Amino acid sequence: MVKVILITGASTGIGREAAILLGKQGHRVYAGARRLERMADLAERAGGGVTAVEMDVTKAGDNERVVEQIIRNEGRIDVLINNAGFGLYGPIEDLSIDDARYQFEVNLFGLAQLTQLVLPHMRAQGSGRIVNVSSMVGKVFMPLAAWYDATKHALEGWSDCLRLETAPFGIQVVLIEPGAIKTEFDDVRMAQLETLPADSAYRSQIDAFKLLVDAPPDLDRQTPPEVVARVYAKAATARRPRRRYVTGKYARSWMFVRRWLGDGAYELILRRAYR
Amino acid sequence: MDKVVLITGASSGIGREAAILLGEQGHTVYAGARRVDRLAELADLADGRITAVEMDVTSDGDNERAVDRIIESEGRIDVLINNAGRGLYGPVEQVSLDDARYQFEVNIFGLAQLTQLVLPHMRAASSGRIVNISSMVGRIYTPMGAWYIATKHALEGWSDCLRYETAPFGIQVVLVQPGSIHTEFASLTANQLNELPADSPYRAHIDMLRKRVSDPGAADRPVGAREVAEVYVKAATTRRPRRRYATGARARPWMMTRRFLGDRAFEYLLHRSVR
Repeated sequence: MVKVILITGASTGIGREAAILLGKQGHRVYAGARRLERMADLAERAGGGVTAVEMDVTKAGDNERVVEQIIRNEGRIDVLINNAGFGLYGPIEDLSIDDARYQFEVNLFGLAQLTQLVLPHMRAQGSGRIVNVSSMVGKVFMPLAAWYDATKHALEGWSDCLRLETAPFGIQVVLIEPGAIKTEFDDVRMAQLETLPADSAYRSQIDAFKLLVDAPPDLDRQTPPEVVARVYAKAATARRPRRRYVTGKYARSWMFVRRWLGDGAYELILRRAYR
Repeated sequence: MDKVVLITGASSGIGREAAILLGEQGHTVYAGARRVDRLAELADLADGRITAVEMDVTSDGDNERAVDRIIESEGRIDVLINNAGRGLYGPVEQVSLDDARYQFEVNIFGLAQLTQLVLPHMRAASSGRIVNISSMVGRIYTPMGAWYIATKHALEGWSDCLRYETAPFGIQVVLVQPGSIHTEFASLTANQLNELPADSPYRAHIDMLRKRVSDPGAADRPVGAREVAEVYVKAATTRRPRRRYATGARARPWMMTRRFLGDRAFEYLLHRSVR
């Protein structure tokens, strides 16, 4: 069955590949992102079926406009894929609380508003699906990622609650937990690490981390976004989706270690890995 | 050794009991809360070792003033107990995002700022301890609690990162995860649920939860605040603290269940237990 799908953060990375794949599969895809010009080729690459929409998930007006547009054109919305997000990196002491607030606006409050906007339509339809893109750091923690990890941890618990309360209306909530994926995520993360103060008390940790993010062997082993896009498509369209999909390099192994080993053992392994 | 301790949310519940206990043990306690009138009697207890500090953790100025005052009077700060917090209950669709943001201000951003303020002093002293009060819902989820649960999940991952990055400076980070405790929490939750619209599509869930919180004794057998306060004291003063302390009715069994069972089995148990 053809589904009407809104996916955010569709201008690059996994979001972009997922929009193309879902379009190719014949679904009506609304691909949202701030940078409209970077989505100009989406419809062509998907063979039609993809409509690019300019939106910033942190802007209430943008979110309202896009959901209205979809309902006006299609009369329904079947799937919301909350994919837009970024990682804020740096020591807690060095990052401003306003940057942390903005991290939450992008990774949590934006998608929460979109969710509020689509829920009445999904309840009226008696069906719908919300796919929230978390991360392996929704379950584990990584160095210098306190605020990013906080948003993804929050999204995990929040989505579990959402699933519980919307299930009676036939609405499904699915979490995707990607690991290390070859996208612009690392470029954004590097750029941030560069802005940290030169005389930071955490300098040795920052430099060690930068070295690892920059290390080519590591990059080579990252999962290509096309592979993860297939998981998005499955999560969005499978008749009986799983509640969580773990995908991409390192995700399953780190999450396994975190779940079954104590805090101390996990920390020790992390320190060895990021030395 | 006597420690200089700042504890927030000390006007009632566990925070109040912990402030008294710490004072009685001979520590120098700064007890912070918005309702300074409710702090007044604390000063008369414990041989005057407890100093009441009027502060709202969501106010930058209050936090700065409180930490400045402690450093001026004592020259150091050994322990920060981030205890202030509140719950926000209601369906995701109907809780306003501004309420959700405020929930994060109280439960996360406030303590993050306090943490930023004490870290330079603790680094200079090459020792210090930050005790963050999470909840069993930092690890599990319960119906209608999406935003509260999001903040506590966030705090878990955030604190893990904080521990990891501050360990090289001799700073310890401890999480306390209380379960069902006999405090004002239940009545505050009931008040919030009463304010939700009468014609809410989530009425069945809301009423079920309201019934439950209005008679928590029957279902949960909450433990007393004093008992949990003793765990706070241990977390704050023991020489080699654990990374996490689970305490109070139901915390440990629920968290174990969540860890060992899959999503579906946990949901099933949750449905059965809250029906």
